[in-house]
Parts: sequence; structure tokens; C-alpha cells
Amino acid sequence: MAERVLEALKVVYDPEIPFNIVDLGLIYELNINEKGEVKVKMTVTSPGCPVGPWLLDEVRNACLSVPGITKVDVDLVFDPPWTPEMMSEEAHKMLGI
Amino acid sequence: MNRARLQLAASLVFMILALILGIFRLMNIHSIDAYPSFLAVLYPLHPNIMVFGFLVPIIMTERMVGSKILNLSRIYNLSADLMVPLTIFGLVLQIVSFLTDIRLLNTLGGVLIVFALLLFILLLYALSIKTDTKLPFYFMILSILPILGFAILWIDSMYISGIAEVLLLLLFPIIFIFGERVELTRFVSKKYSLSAYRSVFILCGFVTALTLVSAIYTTEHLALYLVFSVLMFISFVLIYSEQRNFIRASKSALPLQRYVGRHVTVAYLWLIAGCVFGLMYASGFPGFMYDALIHSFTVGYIGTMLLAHGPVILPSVTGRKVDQSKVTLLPLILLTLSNLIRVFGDISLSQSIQNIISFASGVSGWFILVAIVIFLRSLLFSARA
Repeated sequence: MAERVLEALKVVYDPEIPFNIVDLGLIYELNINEKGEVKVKMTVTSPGCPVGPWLLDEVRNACLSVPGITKVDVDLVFDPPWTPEMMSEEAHKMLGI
Repeated sequence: MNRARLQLAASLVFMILALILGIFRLMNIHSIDAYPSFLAVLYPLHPNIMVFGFLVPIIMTERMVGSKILNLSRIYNLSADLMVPLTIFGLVLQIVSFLTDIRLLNTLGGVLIVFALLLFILLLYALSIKTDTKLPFYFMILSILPILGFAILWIDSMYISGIAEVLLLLLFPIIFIFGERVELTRFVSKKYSLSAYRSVFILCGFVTALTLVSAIYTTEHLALYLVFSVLMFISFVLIYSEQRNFIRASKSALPLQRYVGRHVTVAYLWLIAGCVFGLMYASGFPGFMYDALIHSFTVGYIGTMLLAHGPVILPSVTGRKVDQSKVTLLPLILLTLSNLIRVFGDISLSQSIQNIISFASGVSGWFILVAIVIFLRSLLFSARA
């Protein structure tokens, strides 16, 4: 189930960044209980980023699109702070960094 | 209607008002006498309305929205809630003062605007302590200093008499947008780009200080050379960094990301054009170089950047999702063509084509209004809850 939720989250993009939030490394933790309730611990690339609220809504909607998921709780954290090293290998390659 | 939508609506009303004031003024300059007298009276406040009625509130609103998902303490949340109403109320008092000649209202309005700007700095400070990457926030805080200086220095008089004062107002959106670009691209940048961004910040600080001193002591000539040269250098650094590391990585990007990339590139080209006209103006070059530089900075750079970021920011502000397929390049094309005509009219010296160019330039402002209406319509009416 966690894999399916993670796959669903790969359709969520920060509108200005050409990588989905999973490849960007914004998803820190994903926990699903037997009732289908998801707890997502995530961050954003910059605190106070205006697209933040929209991004959280998109994460909720993406999780709920997976059959069997009944409730989504998104926890926005800044510890540990997000760094570019958290991006996927593919993202690093594309950017040449 | 929630707070963010209300603030957005208010700032759009001021933008349309400022735009109409500018359009009629432009027609008037080009001998098309159609300025309604009640609008002509307000024209001297055109820059104030555009900056304190539109740009400042809309930028404050986007940051307010972003801050609401963070667990900020009560004082910071209160700052976020108060800064836009105080700015708009301050501006309204200044407009009433201008129309009624009650000077106390102007001073009171100025004090409210200064207080609102200090609250904005406080909010940005609160955001900066949430991250180790503080540079974008330093840019944003720095961008407020020129307009804070403007609001303090001219608290008793709203008239703008020199280019240094206009530059103070312009530096706010220019440096704030630099900050937003650094915020967005810093993590995909190579080490030398990050060093370049730090240099850009120092240069922006230098430009701000120089413009303030220049505005106070009205020693504009040399200052202008330096300001425009530095801004041009910064533009090249940002273009180089972004094109290399970010826009180029957007080959497989979504339509909205490509849309933003194209707008940002056009915006930087206008910024460079504005700097070139600025240097020509400072050199005493013939033609209306001052008008050309103002139009390049305001309509070209700032206007295009606003078109770029509208579809990105709007969903968070309105709570409604934008249909990406409805976001078109038409407003960008109209805005760019209109501004090209306008700038060509400013710099054109040939008498044989002067009449045609003058007429085209005079009515070109309406195309900008059409571009804005199409842009807003495509965003607001394609949005869905």
C-alpha cells in the first residue's frame, strides 16, 4: 500500500520545479495503518513558500486517490531542513549537479 | 470571502486604477486628448497607487498565505494579518489627503505604511529563522528598505520629483523578484552560482544605499550609471545561472513550468533593455530614454514576472486549482508587443514616422489592459474548487 501511495504522490509537482515531490525528497515519512489512514511527514523547499498550502492539498488529494485510503494527515516539518542532497539520483543527473 | 481573496481583490482594483491612469496619461502625452478630469487629478499618485496599492499588497499576500501553514508564534501571525490592511488604509488616507489637501491624513497614511512595512520585515525574519538557507529572505528584506526609505523620507509629501525616487519604488519589486528566483533556483545551482548570488545580494545592497543617498542629496547622475550597470550585471548572472541549471532542466517539464520559463526569460531581457536605456539616459542620449527605461522596468520586467507567477501563486491565494490547459501565452505576446510599440515610440526620433508611432504608442496602453483582462479571465474563470 505504501508503494502505491508513494507512486500516487509522484504526480504532485511544485508548479515551478521540473521534479515531482518524491524525487525532490520532500516526503520524509509515510505511515499507513490497517484502517487506511495515512500520516505523511513532509517538508517544502523554502518556509513561507506561497505554493505551500496548495502543495499540501495536492498531497492530500493524491493520497486519497489510492483505493483503500480513508484519511490523510499531513505533517509539515522543517527538521531536518531540506537540502539538495535529498533529491533522487535521477534529479541530480538531470541537473548535472 | 477569506482574507487572502479580499486582499487579492483589493490589490487588483488598485492595479486596474493605476493602469487606467497610466493609459490616459500616455494618450495625453501623444496628443490624444481623452483624459477624464477626475482621473487626471489622480495622475500624480500613479506610482504610489501601483506600488502601495498593488505590488506591495499582492507580494505581502502571497507571503502571508505561505506563512499560514507554519506554526509561527502569535506576534508573527498578527503581523501577517495586519500588514496588507494597514498598507491599503495608509494609501487611501494619502489619496484622500491629496484630494482634500488635509495634510495630517497624508502623514497618518505614511506612518501606517511605514508600520506595515516593518511588520512585513518581521514576518520575513520569522520565515528566515525556519531555514538554514537564509539568502532569499535577506534579498526580500533588503527589497523593502528602498520603499521604507521612500515612505519615511517623503512622509510629508507624496510628490515624486526625481528619478532616484522612482528608482526607490522600482527597486522593491526588482530585488524581491531576485530573491524569489534565488529561492527557487538556489538548490539546483552549482557552487559558483551560489557565490554569484551572494555577490548579487551585496550589489543590491550597494544599489539600494546609493539610490537612497542619491534621492536625499539629489546627486543622480553618477549614481544612475552605477545603478543601471550593476542591475545589468545582476541580470546576466541570474540569466546565466537559471538558463544553465534550471530552465534547461525543464525539457521534460509540465506546461506550466515551460510557461514560467518562457516568461522569466522575456522578463530578464526587458530588465537588460531597461538598464541599456538607463545608461543612455544618464549619458544624455537624445530621445525619451527616461520613459523607455521606466516602461522596460515596469511593464516589461515587472509585468512579465507577474504574468509568470500568477498561475503559480493563485491556487494558494484563492484556494482554487488553475486549469493548466487554459493558461496561454497570449497575454505575454500582447504585453510584449504593446510595450515594444511603447518603447519604440519613446526612443523614436524620426519625424517622418513620428505621427504614426506616436498614435500607436498612445493607444498601446489599452493592449496592456486587454492582456491583463485575458490573463485574469484565464486564471479566475478556469479555476475550479
